[in-house]
Amino acid sequence: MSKKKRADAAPAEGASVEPVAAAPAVPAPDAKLDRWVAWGLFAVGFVVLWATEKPAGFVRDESVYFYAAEQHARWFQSVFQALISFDFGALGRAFSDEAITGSYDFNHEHPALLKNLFGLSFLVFHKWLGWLRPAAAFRVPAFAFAAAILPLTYALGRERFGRWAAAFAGVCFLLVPRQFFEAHLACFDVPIATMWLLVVYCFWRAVDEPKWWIWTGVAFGAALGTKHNAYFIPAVLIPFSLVRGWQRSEGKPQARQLFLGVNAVFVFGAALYGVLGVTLGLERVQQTFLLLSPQVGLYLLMLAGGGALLHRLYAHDVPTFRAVAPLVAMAGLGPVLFYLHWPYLWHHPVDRTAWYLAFHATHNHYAWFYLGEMLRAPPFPLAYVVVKTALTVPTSLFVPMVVGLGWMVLRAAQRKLSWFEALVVANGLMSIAVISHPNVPHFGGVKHWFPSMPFLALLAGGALWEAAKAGAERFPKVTAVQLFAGLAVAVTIPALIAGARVYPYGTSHYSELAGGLPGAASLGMQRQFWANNATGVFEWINQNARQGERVYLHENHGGQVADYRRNGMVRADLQFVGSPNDADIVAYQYHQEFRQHEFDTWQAFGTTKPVAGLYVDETPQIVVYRRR
Amino acid sequence: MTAAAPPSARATPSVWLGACALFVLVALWCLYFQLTLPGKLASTADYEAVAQVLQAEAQPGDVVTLAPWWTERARLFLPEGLPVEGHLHSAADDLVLHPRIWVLAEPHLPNAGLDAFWSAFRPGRTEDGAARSFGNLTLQRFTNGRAKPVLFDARSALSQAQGSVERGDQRQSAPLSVSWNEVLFAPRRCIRLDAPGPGQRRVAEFQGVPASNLVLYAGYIADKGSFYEGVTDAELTVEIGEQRRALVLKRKDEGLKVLELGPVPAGSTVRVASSAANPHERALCFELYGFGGAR
Repeated sequence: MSKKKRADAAPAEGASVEPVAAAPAVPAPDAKLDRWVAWGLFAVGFVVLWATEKPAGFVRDESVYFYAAEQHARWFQSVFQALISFDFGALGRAFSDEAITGSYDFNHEHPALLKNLFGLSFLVFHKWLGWLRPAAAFRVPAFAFAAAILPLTYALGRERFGRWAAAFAGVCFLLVPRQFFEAHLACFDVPIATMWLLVVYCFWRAVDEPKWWIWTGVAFGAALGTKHNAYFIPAVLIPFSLVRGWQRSEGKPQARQLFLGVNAVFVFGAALYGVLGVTLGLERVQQTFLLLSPQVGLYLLMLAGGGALLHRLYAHDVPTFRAVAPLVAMAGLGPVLFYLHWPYLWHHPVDRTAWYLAFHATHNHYAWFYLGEMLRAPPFPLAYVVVKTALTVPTSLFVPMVVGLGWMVLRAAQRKLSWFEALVVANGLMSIAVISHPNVPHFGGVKHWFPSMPFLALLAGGALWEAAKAGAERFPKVTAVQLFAGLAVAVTIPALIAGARVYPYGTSHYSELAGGLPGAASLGMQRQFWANNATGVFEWINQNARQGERVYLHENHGGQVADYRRNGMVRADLQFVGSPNDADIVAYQYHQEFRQHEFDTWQAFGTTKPVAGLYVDETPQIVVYRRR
Repeated sequence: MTAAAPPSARATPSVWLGACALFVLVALWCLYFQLTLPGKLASTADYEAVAQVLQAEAQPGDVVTLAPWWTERARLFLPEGLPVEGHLHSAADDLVLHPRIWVLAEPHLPNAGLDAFWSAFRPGRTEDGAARSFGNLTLQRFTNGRAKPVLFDARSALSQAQGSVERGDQRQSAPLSVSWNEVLFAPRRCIRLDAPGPGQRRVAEFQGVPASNLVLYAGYIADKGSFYEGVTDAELTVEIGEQRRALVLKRKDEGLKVLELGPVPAGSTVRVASSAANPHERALCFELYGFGGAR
């Protein structure tokens, strides 16, 4: 952590957009204490996630990623073996497109960073050491990524909002039951929230401190390797970089000129790519995007031109350099690291990247139940994301988030909003704004805007801290810290109770504002998704199924079933089949759009009466039928 | 850790005092909600007590309606053979085949929405005694004023019916069957009559239909009404002698549609036919009843 006092740590009364010389709201930080707190938060998060891992069922995507990760691990194994035995022929073969595609073709709709880590973790903790069951071994990197949100949030927020508020904000991420559940999964939605936060953290450090601009580029490259949400990060950071650079070059003509020059190089480069796209057509641009092509040349020229101007800027005015350097690093290192981390791109970088981007740009829409309506196709309701957030984040945490946001809006209206505060707000709203667009796919519960949540948590922490300070002024017998602790505990306990009651069926959670799960069911909200709740009836199936009976786990694909078997969660003698007609036992996953599957079961089994089920707070989640 | 910041760094202290109070109140309300929620849910013993009553008092033709509609855990406990109605729009269901309705309600659930339920359910129904409580469940019986005596039910007459696919003058036998199907999230035991391709009709023919007021109910199965790409409307036609009536099932329009056919003389032959210019995803089913008039 930085020992120096940050210029933008606290806004001054009456100052305009950037209060450069404002007094800090909190005393100068103690770096050693901060390190202890940060590591403590990480350790608590990691241990809690690991300790509660076992009951978390495998969501549909996770089993796909398990399989992909294992393939990646095999490739790494072949590379390691070739290296250890100095077999350069084998090493060359491992780096051939054929060998790479053999391991990386499966699930190439997502980049490889997390799957590489899941696979390596599996290799180490399950295959080599034998310490963990396969699922836990795959998930260890996911715990680390999720746990990293706590210290990162703390580190980002502690100067402006104070240590207590920042620590609370870090913990807050895991207090939201849906986030806590998904933090266990070997998936990408929580890790991309971590990476988004990391990029912003590095960026924030970079504008005032040396070297962090490089780390911003590295973090952005890693974020691109995590999930495609990362493509929206520059859209948030560019305005902040430009504003800061403009302010810092004020009254410095040469610095201003160089600052504008760096920007002009990239704007001009982007415009030229646009011209290429318009004149040649995107398909032609893609086909001709070879190593020795104008497209690559243009990229290198942009980097060289931008880099040269940046170098001169550094020589003339370091503060202005720091404002713009992180973006140049992101533009330079981001694509390079994205390419390097994903062997699948090594032999066909352009075509395969284009396919990857096109896949997500044209992602299909899944049915989604929302306020009594089945959403199937755009345009989706504009308020969906806000409503869904309000109904799923524990209300005792959601209200401070809203108050914190309102506080920032008020500060903006009073022209007191600092650059840093605006950065937090912008990142808190960006993912929510993107997913709110009526044409963006709306399935997946709340996971697609997880990157917003640490920033909203910071606003919640800040609001609680301000309220505590006001309370301490009014009631001098208690200190602000004591009041804050009381408030934090008060808003945390209901969230903890809710999380404990619903776990491990996290995708089913609804907040007090919704009336819990029963209230949300009456409101006509999606009951669950991702098919992991099937674990809730495994005990019944394992105890009651006859030897060799045929079981249909509705919505669970073959990969999930194989993983449940592999991890010893379902009996080995049971046969898993693909429809009620072939089954003796059906575990139906309750979704409105799937009700035909339940009625098919009635038809096949000659009964409408279930024999068991998972009912969370009365709401049917998994309903079990047995053939008569 | 951190001490309080100077007041100058904040907006209005009184606003923050209000926020402080708000946080405390919200936290207390949330705590109250979480602590009291388990006590509002029905227990297994509650359900078992209800099941015993229904086992003893329910009659053939009775039906149980759930309020809220989604409280289908009741199905685990209620007597086999006693129909249970619980789907998104079940509060508004006329339940014309059932002269008596048992309403099984969980009134203490948060946001149960029972006012909306009762306002949709009550018209035309009269209470048969007071509601009985079983823990967090209440059970109340109603006489269903919307029920009608059934003189003809096409589902029961299916063994004597003829199914076919007609292409111009050609006619090919096609079996008919009754099955459980979803029509706008509701379970219906109905006769499948998927619309065949252009220039064809799938036909179900019933002979010897008794004198009654005929009513046709039909709809798209599952969410087939929602697949819009390259699909057309489907049409059901009902032919009674020379009389021919059509019910158009619009694309994008799911749900059970009703066609009142009016009185038919005894011994009528009734043909129900489905067709669509494009058969893609035009899976549909129907029920055809001959009613004897309102009770």
